[in-house]
Amino acid sequence: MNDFQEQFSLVYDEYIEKIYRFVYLKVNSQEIAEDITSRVFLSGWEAYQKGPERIQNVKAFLYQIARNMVIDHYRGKSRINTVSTELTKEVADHRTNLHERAVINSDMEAVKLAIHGLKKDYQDVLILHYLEDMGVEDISSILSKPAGTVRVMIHRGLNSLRDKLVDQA
Amino acid sequence: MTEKELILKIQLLKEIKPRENWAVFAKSKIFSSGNASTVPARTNYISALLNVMRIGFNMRIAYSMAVLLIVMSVGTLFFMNGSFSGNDVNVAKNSSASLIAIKDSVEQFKEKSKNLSEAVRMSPENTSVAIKEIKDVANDLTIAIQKDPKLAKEVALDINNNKTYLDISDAGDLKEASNDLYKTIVEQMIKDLEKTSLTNSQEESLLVIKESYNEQNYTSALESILLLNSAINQDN
Repeated sequence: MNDFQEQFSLVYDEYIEKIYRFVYLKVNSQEIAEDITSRVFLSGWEAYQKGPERIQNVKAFLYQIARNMVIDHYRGKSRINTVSTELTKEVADHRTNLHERAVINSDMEAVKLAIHGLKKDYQDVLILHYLEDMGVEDISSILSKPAGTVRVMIHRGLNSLRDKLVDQA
Repeated sequence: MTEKELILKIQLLKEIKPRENWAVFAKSKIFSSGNASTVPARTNYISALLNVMRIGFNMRIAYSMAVLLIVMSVGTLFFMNGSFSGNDVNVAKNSSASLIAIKDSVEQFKEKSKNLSEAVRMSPENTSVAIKEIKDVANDLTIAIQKDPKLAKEVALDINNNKTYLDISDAGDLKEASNDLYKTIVEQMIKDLEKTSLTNSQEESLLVIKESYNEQNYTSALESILLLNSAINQDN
């Protein structure tokens, strides 16, 4: 194993769970999340081999790729998929049952659905801030938005999530 | 709901994790090729025929035909191996004779399967006969692999390309027979991998495969083995 591979192997081990979770919460499908996540790391590995020094912040770099790939996924889906978004919630993916079976707490399922129903920007900030324990500065560099804007988005995202959960109940 | 309660609810989602098997193999694939690839789909008589059969026939019948076709191809492999051990001049002749034999057998089998499909539709109680046939051929196949372990890989590829056909849960003894078949294949392929020189990440993958085997999750182990083999082949 060469040095780059060894280094990226550590990066992979550190972030595979986080990136998968980030993608999964945005696409709500195990199969699609696995596909996108593996492409995120493949793309990351290709860039890393060209020179790790070019990547200033590996964490931000991987989340940016993941975010872009999720956006591409939805763009592609909107071009080829005519199923309404209301329906997709119901037929999302039978394989999510694998997760669902593992979910003991119904609260978790409710939050997952509520987050999936939020605006994409709100999803990003809430997942990154509260799930991945990322600071406002880090999020700001991933989303390429000023820190002040991120703070406002976190606040609005939380309110929006609360509304969704109240609606569900 | 207070903000603190809301945040606690969000943090419940930390329970979401990728499948361990998948994470290990995704890593192995990334490093092995630098290019995401899947196990190459093998087009052969069996998979092509299965597609045709699945369109028109009862699934159980499709399953039985699939397994019987595997047995036929295994038989042909035996036949071809025997031929190739003979003199070189006859190799090409024998090989094409084998191919003709397969085609003939397949055609005959298609015809017989149509008859069987009709019979099952007319009298559903005959399904048990089809199940027994599958069970018998699965057992035969298990014995064939035990006798000649080299066949394991060939059969594994065919099974993986048509992997649902032995996953029948509603027939207890059939499930047992198919489980034995998977177990035999996986066992043999693990032995082969143990003799192969592997990279660190491939060694990790092999450990996960062994875990799946120990947990009697043979279909998952088989799928993982094929992915690992694919990664090894790309390395070479």
